[in-house]
Amino acid sequence: MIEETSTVVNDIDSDKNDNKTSYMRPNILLTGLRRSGKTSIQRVIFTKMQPSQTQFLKSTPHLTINQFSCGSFINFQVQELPGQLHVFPSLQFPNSDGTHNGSSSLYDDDNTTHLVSGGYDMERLLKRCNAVVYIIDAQDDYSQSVSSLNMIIQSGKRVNPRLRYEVFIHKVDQLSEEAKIETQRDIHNQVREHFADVNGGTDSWPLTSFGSNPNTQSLLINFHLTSIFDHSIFEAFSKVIQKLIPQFNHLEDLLNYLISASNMEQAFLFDIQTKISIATDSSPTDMQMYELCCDMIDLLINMSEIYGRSNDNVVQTTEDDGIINDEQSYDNPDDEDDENEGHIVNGIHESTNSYSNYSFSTTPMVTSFASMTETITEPTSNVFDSMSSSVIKLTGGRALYLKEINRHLALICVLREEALTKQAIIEYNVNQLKKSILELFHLTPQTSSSSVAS
Amino acid sequence: MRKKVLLMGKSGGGKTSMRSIIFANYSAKDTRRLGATMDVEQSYVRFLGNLILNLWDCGGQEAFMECYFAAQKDNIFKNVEVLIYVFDVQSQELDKDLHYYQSCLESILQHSSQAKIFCLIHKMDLVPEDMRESLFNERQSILTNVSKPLQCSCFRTSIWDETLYKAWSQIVYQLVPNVKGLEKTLTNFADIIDADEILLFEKATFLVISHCTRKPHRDARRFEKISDIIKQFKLSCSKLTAAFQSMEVRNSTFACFIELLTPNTYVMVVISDPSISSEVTLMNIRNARKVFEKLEKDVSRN
Repeated sequence: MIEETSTVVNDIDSDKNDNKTSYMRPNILLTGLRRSGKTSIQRVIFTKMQPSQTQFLKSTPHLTINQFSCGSFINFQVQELPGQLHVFPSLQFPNSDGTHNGSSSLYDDDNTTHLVSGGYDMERLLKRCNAVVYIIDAQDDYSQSVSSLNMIIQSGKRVNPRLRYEVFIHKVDQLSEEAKIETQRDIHNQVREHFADVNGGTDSWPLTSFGSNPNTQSLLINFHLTSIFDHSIFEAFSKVIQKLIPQFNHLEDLLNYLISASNMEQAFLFDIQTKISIATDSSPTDMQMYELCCDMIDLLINMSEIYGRSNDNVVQTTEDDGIINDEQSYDNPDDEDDENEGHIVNGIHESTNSYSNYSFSTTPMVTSFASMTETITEPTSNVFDSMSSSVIKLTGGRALYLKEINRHLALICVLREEALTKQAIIEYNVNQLKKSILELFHLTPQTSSSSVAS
Repeated sequence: MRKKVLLMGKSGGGKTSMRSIIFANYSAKDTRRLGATMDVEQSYVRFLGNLILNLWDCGGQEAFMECYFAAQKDNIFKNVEVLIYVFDVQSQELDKDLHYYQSCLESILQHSSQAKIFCLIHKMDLVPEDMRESLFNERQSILTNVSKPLQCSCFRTSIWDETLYKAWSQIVYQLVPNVKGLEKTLTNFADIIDADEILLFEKATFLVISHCTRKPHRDARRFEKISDIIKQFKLSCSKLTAAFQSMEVRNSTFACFIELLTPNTYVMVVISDPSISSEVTLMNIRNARKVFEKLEKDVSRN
């Protein structure tokens, strides 16, 4: 039941600008059976709720849409579809909501979507989203959950063959290592077998007619073992987000250049609010190293909150950090970028002299917004500023190096202590990287909006 | 130099848990694994190099308790430097707890009347936030009354937040030899390098053993918070089979360095002057090492 007017407004909005939003604001459909932990996951990742507190969460009665932003320029939308609404036998949903049905007919331009008599139109949801995150409670009997997943994949294949499925085998913290692997294999097999059957059997799903590319027939599905009580949920969600970022490959390349040029072992790009790593270099990531990087961010923020808060810092705005007000960002989608830009320039002026001669192509605009950034501070991370950096040395000759990229993003590098002796070179390289990343994200929204305009 | 520390209190009160967190690098979650302590568990903790803490973790079940005040009395209560008595804030039998506490004090008075006494009102996390203050004050006044003629210091603690570090910092502060000399040297050091604040940590426990503040700070609980933050990070390092060695954190308003100072201590230097570069401060810390090492040696010789 969509009762909140805001939710409905979001719905219509995003439909109107379908092209635009699908590019700028990737859509993630988060679903799974009831009590599988959907809301908990969102709360833990995006609102920093303590994992132990999630047991008090109430079940979510209706489809909720949340806007999130990662690193300030990666915006995405998470639609949480409550599990208890999935009564699937006929691929239909129980309905009790007439109003939504009415509004949905407004933009039912496609004739294939008329399966649902009302309520949640699964196919429409699937069509609009870029990834489905399906949560399976591994501590429970998951056969029903898997068949529900199969149903979703089936209808997804029809309406959106390029859709990615990310299956979180959740609540694995109570399982032994063996049980985890066994569960993952079992679920994987069940899904695979199901689709081997369907494809081999009746030709009821004419897949090729939908996808322009024959390769899209293959199912894009990944399995992750997750738990909110350790870092695995952040790691899994990072992978989901990474695949949705159009610039991901470029980011990966940039990080690869950086580590080879500066003799580093690994590099991560983190959103400091959510601790989602939006990019890493292409070497295989070590889960433990990822965790340590997350803890390093905590350390930096905690220490900065104690000593790094200047006393005259009284200006606080109402802008909510993790969750961006939807209306605002739709009305003027460039607004955010401008803020960033002001911030970028500020940062460069403050941090190094070597970049003082560097200028953006849009300098006049920048100066007008530079003053704005002063007022835009966030309650939780206003201690994270353009000069934020940290070096931690570990025994065994390893070191961690953290540097601010923008007010949401931090670069963390793992390197040998010997490499750190050439800190000036590293700093130069990191500043180059910072410049490139900001340019990358500065340009992309413009190209996208121009493509929409044409 | 060996100093005897008695850890007493009712069974299940959390004595072994807090000992494991402070001295054996357990995380708060790990303490669930701990079982009940049988009789007395003695452990030696090397603290500040030549100072050895001899911890007597006394199991709190009634059968043992009776025994401590009878047959084992001389053995247990002789040469005690510090008595730490742990009260479970949720205990339903306050009178009985107080009764044991008093018997304990009697024995202390008899055998080691110079001992310092600390009462920890433990498991405070189980009390609703708004009631903690008043409940603690109430218990504190009861305990101060009961303890007469001896003096006791009361702390509220919980293994789930930084309060534990506050209490233990105060406790070990009593045991550190030559505290005054250390403080003086630290102040001198801070003046020379123009630091806002310098903290001295014991290496293994990361408890603050001395500090010097040259610029007032709004957060009075920051020391224990820092102990907690660093300890947490050390724990995550250990998962990687690496150990924490040194740290530098900065933003536009401050720079903070944590470096090894002597073989037994870490120093934390906070500087807010952005014109002082990291290298200068690091070199200053390196140079200060000799002075502090000498100080530590002098103390051990005496």
